[in-house]
Amino acid sequence: MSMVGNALVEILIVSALAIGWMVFINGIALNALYTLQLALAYRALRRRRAAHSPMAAWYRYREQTVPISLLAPAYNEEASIVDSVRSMLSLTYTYFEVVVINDGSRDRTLQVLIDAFELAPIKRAFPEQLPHKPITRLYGSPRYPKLVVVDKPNGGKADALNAGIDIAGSPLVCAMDADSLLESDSLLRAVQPFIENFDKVVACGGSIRVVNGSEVRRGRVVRIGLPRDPLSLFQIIEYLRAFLIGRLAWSEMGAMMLISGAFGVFKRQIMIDVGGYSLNTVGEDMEIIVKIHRHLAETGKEGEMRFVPEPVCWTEAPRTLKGLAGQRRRWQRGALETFFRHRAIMGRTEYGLTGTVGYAHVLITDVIGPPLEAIGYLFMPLLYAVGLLDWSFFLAYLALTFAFGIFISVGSLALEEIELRRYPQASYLLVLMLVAIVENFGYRQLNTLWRVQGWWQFVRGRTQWDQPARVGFGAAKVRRP
Amino acid sequence: MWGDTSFFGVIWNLTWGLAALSVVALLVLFIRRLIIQFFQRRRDRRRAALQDLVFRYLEQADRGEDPTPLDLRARDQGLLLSVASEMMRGVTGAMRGNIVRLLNVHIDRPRLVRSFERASGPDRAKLAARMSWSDAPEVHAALNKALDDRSPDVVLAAANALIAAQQPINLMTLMPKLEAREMLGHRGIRDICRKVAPANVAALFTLIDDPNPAVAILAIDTMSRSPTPAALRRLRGMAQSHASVDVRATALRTLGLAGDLDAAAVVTAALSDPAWEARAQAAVAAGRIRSAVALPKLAELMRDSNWWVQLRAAQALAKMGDAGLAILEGLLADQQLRPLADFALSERHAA
Repeated sequence: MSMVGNALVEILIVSALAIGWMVFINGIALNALYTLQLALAYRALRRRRAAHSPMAAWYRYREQTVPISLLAPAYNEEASIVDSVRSMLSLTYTYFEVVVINDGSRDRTLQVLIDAFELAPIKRAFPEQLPHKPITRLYGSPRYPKLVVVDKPNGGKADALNAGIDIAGSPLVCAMDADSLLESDSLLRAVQPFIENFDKVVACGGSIRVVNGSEVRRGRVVRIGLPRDPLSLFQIIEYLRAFLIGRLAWSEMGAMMLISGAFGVFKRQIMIDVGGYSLNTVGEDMEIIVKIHRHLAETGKEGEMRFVPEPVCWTEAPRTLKGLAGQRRRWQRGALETFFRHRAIMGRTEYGLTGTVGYAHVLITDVIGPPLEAIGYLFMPLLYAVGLLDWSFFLAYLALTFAFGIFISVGSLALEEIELRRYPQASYLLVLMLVAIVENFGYRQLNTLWRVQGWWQFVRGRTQWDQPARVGFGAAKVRRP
Repeated sequence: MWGDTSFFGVIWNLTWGLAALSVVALLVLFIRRLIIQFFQRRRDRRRAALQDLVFRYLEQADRGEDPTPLDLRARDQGLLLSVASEMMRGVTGAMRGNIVRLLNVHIDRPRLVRSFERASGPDRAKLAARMSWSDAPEVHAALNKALDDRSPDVVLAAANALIAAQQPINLMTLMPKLEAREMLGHRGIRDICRKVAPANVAALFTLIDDPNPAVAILAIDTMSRSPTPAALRRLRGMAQSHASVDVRATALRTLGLAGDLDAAAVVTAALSDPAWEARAQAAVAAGRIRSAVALPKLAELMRDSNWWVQLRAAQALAKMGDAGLAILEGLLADQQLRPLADFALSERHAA
């Protein structure tokens, strides 16, 4: 072989090893981060206030609640909107209003609301403080004084939420999805941080759980169960991991980077101060949190964002690979958009833990994590096959990836079981234990693939939503033990 | 293998360690769940049996018979307290009296106090809430001591239990404790202050002069339920000249709620307050008092730089009778002010 050829082979080997080490180190950093989060989450759960029973929570907090406006943006929700609104109106809370924002639905969403709740046009004064499409009309009903329906042209979820914040007449607003189900005492539990320290707390998030497999009647989860399809089961473990470890740990550190768009309570004033949701993003829920952190740091105001694990919002998880893939790609694009839009705060200590630890976390888990993990899965076997990689390196990488993955999933299940125990049967626990192990072989890799695709879509500048097909809560069935 | 200290040896050991830990954790969790389920079912059965016994006791008492004492084991005391406390919620009169009698007969109070003193966190708060039935001095002493607790839940539960037991709470001594623990913003504290206000009028008069605005606001808010003429006099002064905008706004709100006609001049002057929060509250108060002297200033506030002040001014004008309504109708021609004027007028007509 010529000298040039030798040099090329040499460069190839060195590059391969460098990439191998990069993937390996990233894997270790990621897993170390998750382990730290697991420890922090455990500490947070141990230190939290004991959960009251729904009845006890009502007696304890009914006289101390802060008025709240539930904002439910609805787009083509004709099939489920009436049940959802009925469920919202029957929440256990002292002072609240439900603001449904019909975001230019092309189906009969508005008409079914008008018919079901005997709505008529009303007048309401409100300051137009946030950017959104003009409000066409407001509807209300003397029979349902807590309900306000806003009709406006289609502008997307962020636009609809901004309109809802403008209309809201309460100091707190709860951003949620029109097709999510709140447990009856969710609001009571979610406002606890505000009750304890209204001056300081600006936002609070609750847990989102997968409703697939549970029995739902009239917009209420009446029996918690497990789904039969593996895809939904995997997502249950995934949600437990994300909420009971990730969110709780960041809340404990004071560097919350995300409050789920399906259920988050905010001070209305802080939303106005930051200019509301940004309209040109698919990850508006993460973006608003980073925006609030920035605003607080730049104006020198005090503010805390908290996560409380007990208030539960049930959501339907995608049941098909196509639906799930679309959702994951969109989440990935949302995370990247937020990361790059606010990159100016990265590493800057004046933004506190958000600029340093929080941003480093997003960098490792959402920005470089997915491509490096994908490279690891594809590149390492390839290098091994052509003899460029030591087998011990390859095996160590695989073993560490799977062992840590299982450990973290088992950890989240342990937190759920020790501290919350929402799944009523021991047999459910057994199924979830198996799922916590199995999801590491196949599902996790699929997720990585979708996230890399999300990266690619982000690079190509795709901005449209991939709405997962939903079958509705009526289809949820309880898996018999 | 475990002795291998090379880099990959350590990685392998870590991997096996994690795998073993995960399997053990899963096994422990599952066995733990089975044990919990077993004891939970046993406890539920015992609770149901105890409920039956309590119902029988109460039925006998209700019929005027001498009820048969419950056959209790020593460890059932906590369960009985829990069952009886649940039954007592929302119950008054003879039924409540019978439940209290049951507890007085069956609960060992010195033991209850000892348990309360040993308990911490949520258990302590729960126990405090379950001690309100007792008229025993040692129970009251323990609850009074709990007002010094670091946990807001315990303080709230103890205060509510003392109030339910009709025991006096001195706001002058309680307030500094709450202040030191930064609990003044807690909405539960506001409710407690309101409940004990009648017995603490003198204390409230002292507390509204507190240099900490949070204390002053709490005191004003407490007074707002049943303001005396002397209190209103004091509030008029505060609405005019207090350094804290929050205190001024709270005082104005209270004056408005009380419908204090003598406050018309103060309220009108506050319509020019430099802080918008105070101007908005002054407009609300002016609407409630229906003070005609405020009309010109309210009309001016329709062009205030703050939207909330504009809204409150419009709503106040709508409550001022014909003169106010005439001003609003005149504003309908103004393109910019029309929506607010229109809204206030339609709100008025709807009322």
